[in-house]
Amino acid sequence: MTAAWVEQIMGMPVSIHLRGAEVGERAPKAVTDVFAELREVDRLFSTYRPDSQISLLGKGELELGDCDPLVAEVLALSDEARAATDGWFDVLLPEPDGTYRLDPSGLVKGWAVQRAAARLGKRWAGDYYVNAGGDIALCSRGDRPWRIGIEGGSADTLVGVLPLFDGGIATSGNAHRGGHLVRPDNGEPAAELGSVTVVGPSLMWADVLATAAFVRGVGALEWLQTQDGYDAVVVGLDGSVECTTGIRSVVELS
Amino acid sequence: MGRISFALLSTVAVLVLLFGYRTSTGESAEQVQAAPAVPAPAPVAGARTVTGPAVTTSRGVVQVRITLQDNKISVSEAVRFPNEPGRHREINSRAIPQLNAQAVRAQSADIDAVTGATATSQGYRDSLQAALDEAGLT
Repeated sequence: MTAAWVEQIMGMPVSIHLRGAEVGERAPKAVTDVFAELREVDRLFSTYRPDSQISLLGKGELELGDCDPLVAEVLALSDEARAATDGWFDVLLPEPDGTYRLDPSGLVKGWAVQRAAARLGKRWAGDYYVNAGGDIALCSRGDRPWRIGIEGGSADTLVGVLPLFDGGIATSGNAHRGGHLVRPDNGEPAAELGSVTVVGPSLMWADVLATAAFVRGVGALEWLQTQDGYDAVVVGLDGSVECTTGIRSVVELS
Repeated sequence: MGRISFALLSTVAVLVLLFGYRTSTGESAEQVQAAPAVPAPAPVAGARTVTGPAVTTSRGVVQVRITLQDNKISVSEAVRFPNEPGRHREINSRAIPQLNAQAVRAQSADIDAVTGATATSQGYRDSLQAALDEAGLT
């Protein structure tokens, strides 16, 4: 038996899927608590809410010491992510006019979903996954993996399927519209690759590495190959598909 | 809390004070609204419909409805789409074949979920995915 519930949070559909003998129609409290937790994270971190703590902090109307401890945690992780990616992932992004803006949402999403999914896993004994706009934290405890389709450079192509038992998978790209992700060094749109999908134990890091590799462009696969515990599928602008060595025997390419 | 983060924060604060605060970065300003009532199609024996939420994109509001026959998708259609002149045709001609392809793929390819670029966070996909989720098909 499987069941799924979806809510719109952080400007995207977040769906929670349970598989197991005890699945019923009604969402268990463990599921509604995940949604509640994500809504709370959105309240703290949304850059689209002028009254979120991250917005007030940016405006200088709130001290870090007065923020929820989660804000400091996210900023510390942001520093770590920037260092781990040689600066290719950065929550401070240059604007066309030469200014910078603080936008930790690229890290917050994976972090929040992974955190909420882990809590769900402690309360739900069956299989589950949480899908937030295409970034997925999942767990299968039996012998049946979750089968995750990988979108290529555009939303209407699947480059392959990965059967997964545990961890996170995230994709970065500009599918359908160019220039959403920008290089932290010069603010130019990243445009050298179709998409980068990264899979590994932590959804947050999978997401960070996918974004960093996509923005880095040329050399992304070689760099991802050096990331312990993480594997990747890199799709070129021409639709070519390359995988890191760790998943070549697992991924089912289309 | 490391020293580096404090440095980062104070930099941010100064920059923001100097240059003002931006609340939106265009594309990611997408928000999802509560789904308005959409007239359901005439019931067909054994068929049911699931309507995804109305999703606001930079192009306008998009909403998808799928029709299921014996738990197989028989139709996926955009029931709301941006009505800006000229856009209408573009959205219709480009989005609907994709929607159908996605819907069919989701049910035929033995896939539980799809990972994709969040930047797309497109109304079409969002609304379709939500409808699929609600139908319990993914």
